[in-house]
Amino acid sequence: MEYTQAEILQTVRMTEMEHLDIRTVTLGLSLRDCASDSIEKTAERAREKIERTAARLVQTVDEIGDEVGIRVANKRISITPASMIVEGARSNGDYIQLARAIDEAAARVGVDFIGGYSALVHKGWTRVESDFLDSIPEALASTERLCSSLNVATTRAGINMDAVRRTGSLIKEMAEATRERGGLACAKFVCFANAVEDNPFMAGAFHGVGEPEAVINVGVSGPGVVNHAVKNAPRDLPLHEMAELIKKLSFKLSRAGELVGREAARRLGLPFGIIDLSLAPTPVVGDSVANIIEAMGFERAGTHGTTAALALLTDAVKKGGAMASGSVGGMSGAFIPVSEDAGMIEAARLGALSLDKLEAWTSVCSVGIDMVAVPGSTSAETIAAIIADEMAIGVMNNKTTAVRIIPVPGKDAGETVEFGGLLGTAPIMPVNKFSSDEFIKRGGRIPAPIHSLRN
Amino acid sequence: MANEELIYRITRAIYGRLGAEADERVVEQLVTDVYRAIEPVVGNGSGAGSVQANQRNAREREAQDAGSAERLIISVFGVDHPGIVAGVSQVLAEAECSIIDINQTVVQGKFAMIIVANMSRAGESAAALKERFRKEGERLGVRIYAQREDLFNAMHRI
Repeated sequence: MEYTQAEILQTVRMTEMEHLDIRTVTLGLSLRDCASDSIEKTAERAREKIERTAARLVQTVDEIGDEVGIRVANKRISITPASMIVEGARSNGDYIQLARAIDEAAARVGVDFIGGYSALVHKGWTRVESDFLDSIPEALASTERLCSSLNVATTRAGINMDAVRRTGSLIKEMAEATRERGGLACAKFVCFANAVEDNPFMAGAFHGVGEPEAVINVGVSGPGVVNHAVKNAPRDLPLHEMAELIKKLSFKLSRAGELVGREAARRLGLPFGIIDLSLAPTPVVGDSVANIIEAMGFERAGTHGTTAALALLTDAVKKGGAMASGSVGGMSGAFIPVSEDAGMIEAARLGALSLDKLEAWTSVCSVGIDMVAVPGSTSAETIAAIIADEMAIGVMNNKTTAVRIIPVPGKDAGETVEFGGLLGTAPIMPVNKFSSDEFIKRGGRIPAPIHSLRN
Repeated sequence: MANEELIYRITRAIYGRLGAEADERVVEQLVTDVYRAIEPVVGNGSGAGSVQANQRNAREREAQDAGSAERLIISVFGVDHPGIVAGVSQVLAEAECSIIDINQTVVQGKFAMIIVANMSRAGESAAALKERFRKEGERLGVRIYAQREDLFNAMHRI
């Protein structure tokens, strides 16, 4: 037999018992040719193009999943930042029409999320973009599948603190607009430093301006697989050998992802874009990044030493993946969304995991403060300040960072909020009670770091 | 014999006679002429028209090289009892899948079997075949997993 029994067993165990799946196959789609002189026409064109291009996406990807024998958990679409396709429209104001059209198209083709109700405002905004930003809370509150993101900082441009301040207020508005659903709109919004143009993961996916007409991007996952291996490794295994172990597994996960991605691209007649190697947890027990960290030798995720452990993990995942595929892109790190990770939820409940530790983790993974619920009474300025800290880590360290935070209306630290499905359950974490108001109200820009001058 | 191999042999024979300094265009023309002249004869041998036969050969070779999309690896696990091999093979036979390789062990009453099957002639989709296996697995009280061979190739071979 060409494969040993051990090899076959390993693959079967990974796919059937350790939740190895392709987390998402995301169709990146340019909507730039949908721009027109009226929002109505733009919305209609966008709807038509999404429905036409993605008509076979879900069915094709599911067929491949069935044949290959590896589940593809989510099928998604990312579009050109919507703020860019409305620039030429005369009637300003009614962007909600566009949001609804995109959302309805997503529902019709059967994807669970569509990302790209976005704007890139890291250095400033145009008149249209400014109006567009104001539409985000209502757009997210009145749609189901639409996701939005803002890029407010880059290493080259610095941090647009006016945009950071405004994002704080927008997040509060989103929470208020979906008050009866625990502030759900905030779970569909991400704020970035150094946003990537080919990220397949939600809520931050959008189809960048440098991307082709349409492209297939793949997000692989598999915390369960890594968790199982780390748990079963000898207790006294030195860390460099642990890194080696994770690297080898990550190689295998990535190869499986690339197989599915390329096949999907081929059958849909689209170019294959990238494979994103991020470990992304789900609320399923065992499919947790926190559990991997704990299995390395901690009582709970979030305690001292866990930043080092996470650094080892993300680096090993990247190295394994980079060897496996020539098309690595997206975020490629580890995701640590609190509400979507059973181990994180538990650690936060027990007080092992704090907002400050999550911020520290940002320096060694992609998205530090992700799906974090904070008290509804948290001010817009405090949220902006939390964002500013994360953006600073991204800008100064030349990496992507992001914030997805939910100030849950009417709830306080120690309570929990239930979002359901993949978004999970979030314990509400306390924020620092001292004010950052004056700093945030200054506005302006934090200049780009000296190492942005690289030419 | 595949097209490319034959063309390669003719080209070498011509260069052998004419020497390496022979005009490239002349050689190319000669190869084409000779190949056209003998193609019907070669084609008769394979019975089904040389082009299709050659394409099939090429496909089969490719499949063997890179882990095939047409081959399934079927793994069966459970508590041992008579009839498991028969049951699973029956499903394969009904679906017109041929068995390429089979490996079966029983350790402490635990049954494990791995079958490599070719489904290139199968009259039904992978999803339908999986559904059959699911039902048969339920009937036999074992777990049956069917996955495309190229997944294993991707994960375990460089």
